[in-house]
Amino acid sequence: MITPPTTRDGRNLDRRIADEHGEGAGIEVQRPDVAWPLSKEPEQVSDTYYDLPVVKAAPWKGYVPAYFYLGGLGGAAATLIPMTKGREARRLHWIASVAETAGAVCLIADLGKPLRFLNMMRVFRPTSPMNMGTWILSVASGAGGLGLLVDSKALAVTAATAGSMLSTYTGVLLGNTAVPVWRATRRRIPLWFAASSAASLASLLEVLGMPRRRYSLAAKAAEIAGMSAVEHAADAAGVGEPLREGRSGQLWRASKWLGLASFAATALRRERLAGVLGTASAVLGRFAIVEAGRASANDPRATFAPQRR
Amino acid sequence: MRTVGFFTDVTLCIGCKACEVACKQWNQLPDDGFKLTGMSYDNTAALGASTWRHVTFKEKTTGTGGVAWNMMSDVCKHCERAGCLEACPTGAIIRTEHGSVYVQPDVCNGCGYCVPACPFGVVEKREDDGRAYKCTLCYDRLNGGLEPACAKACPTDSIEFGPLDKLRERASARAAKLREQGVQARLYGEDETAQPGTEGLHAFFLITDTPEAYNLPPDPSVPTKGVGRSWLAAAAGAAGLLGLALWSSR
Repeated sequence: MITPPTTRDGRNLDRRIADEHGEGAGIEVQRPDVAWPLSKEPEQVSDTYYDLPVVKAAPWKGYVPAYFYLGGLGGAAATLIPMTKGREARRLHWIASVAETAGAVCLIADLGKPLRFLNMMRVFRPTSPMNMGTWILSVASGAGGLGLLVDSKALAVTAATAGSMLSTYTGVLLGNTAVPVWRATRRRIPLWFAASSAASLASLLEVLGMPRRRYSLAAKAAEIAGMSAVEHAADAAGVGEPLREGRSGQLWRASKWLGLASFAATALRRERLAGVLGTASAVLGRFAIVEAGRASANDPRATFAPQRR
Repeated sequence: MRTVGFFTDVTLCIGCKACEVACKQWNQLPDDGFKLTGMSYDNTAALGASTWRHVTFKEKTTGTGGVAWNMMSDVCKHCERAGCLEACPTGAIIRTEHGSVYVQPDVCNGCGYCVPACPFGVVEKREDDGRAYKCTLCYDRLNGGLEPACAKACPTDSIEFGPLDKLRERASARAAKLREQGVQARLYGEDETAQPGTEGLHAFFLITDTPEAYNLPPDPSVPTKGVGRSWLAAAAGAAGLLGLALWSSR
């Protein structure tokens, strides 16, 4: 059996049997720590692994938040088509088709292998919001595009229904991930996206000189409420920091203030101004939530803390 | 075919990184740059598109004033309910006949959705190649009747490979024996009861510290669990849009 050392001076000797005639044996050790002036304090117990992320952020470029805006705008426009007639209906139809097509182009551009975009239609997979979204987008833009050629109530209703889902499934897309801030707000983001899509459309119509006052006021109020709801859910889960701090916090705040300003401008019948402010608010909001996801995924504490509860 | 997997026992790991080397060599993976991270001996930092085995090193002080290492060979967990698989919109990610989760590189179109869907941050998309990659459980070796390269190379058998049910039995026995010896051993992700969120991992671990010490999430779950209410919110939002359209057109 090995006898444990009985000295506390760092010599690790057992005084009962040691022969202390070494050159350094005469040093009188009062404080062992002064011999190590360059040593640092032992590493504080860290609650993370070198502050490295636990999960990974979505590798999306700006095309994806741009699609959220365009698809939302197009879907909202499609919902109005069956309710309108004549020139207004045709204009909304064009807005829906152009926005949805531009959105699809953005999605294809974001792919790592864009020429394989049709692979999205290899399967019908309800567990994947991205796959479901591919089908929704196809039905919405297909029915919408055909409706431009053929005047059909059935096509208009199909485009409107698919369009309404187009504006909201993207919220489920974000929530169906391990990103803490998206996961925590996944029952709120789809509602906020619906409102934001309507507000996007309302603002565009204001810019184009075709304002819809009741629609605009209701949509913009709902968008502001939606953003608050998302914040509350994030804070309740303890993962709301990206909506306040950093680049994502800046974008989020800017979007909120522009949204409030846009609502006020509509109320004061300054439609062109309201449209510009509202468009900026909606676009920034989409970029804000995607950037917030990046910050949230990169923060290991955001992943650990909710799971420890 | 029997479901196979890994049982990684950190009490046997000597931190040699033979697993990392064997994996890179067998799969002909590119290097990730030769950088020193300053994170003890962990110069790999994380799993990624071209790093499919990653050994963690975390120094800690023991109760008696000594220094110990938390070393663990991290890998894709090949979850029973895999976040990447359920999120993949092209069907590129499949469940093989061995029970493993495999990304088909000829189908993947690089949408990147699997990346944030993984609760462990395993799969990654390479920007230059455009596709997503992760551990294949050496699918090619399994089809040839061989064990995965990392398990073959591990000199201490810290990485054990075999039928999942056998591994679970051995792991329980090992954990119990270690606890008898006073080691704070616990299993991580060994079955559905232990980790309901993933319904059990096909590559599970025996660890001697909290999961966070190894950069493992304490209570991970596949994002698809509970997403039904998110879809309901989307449907409600869609109904709201249609309702708003109707109301404003009166």
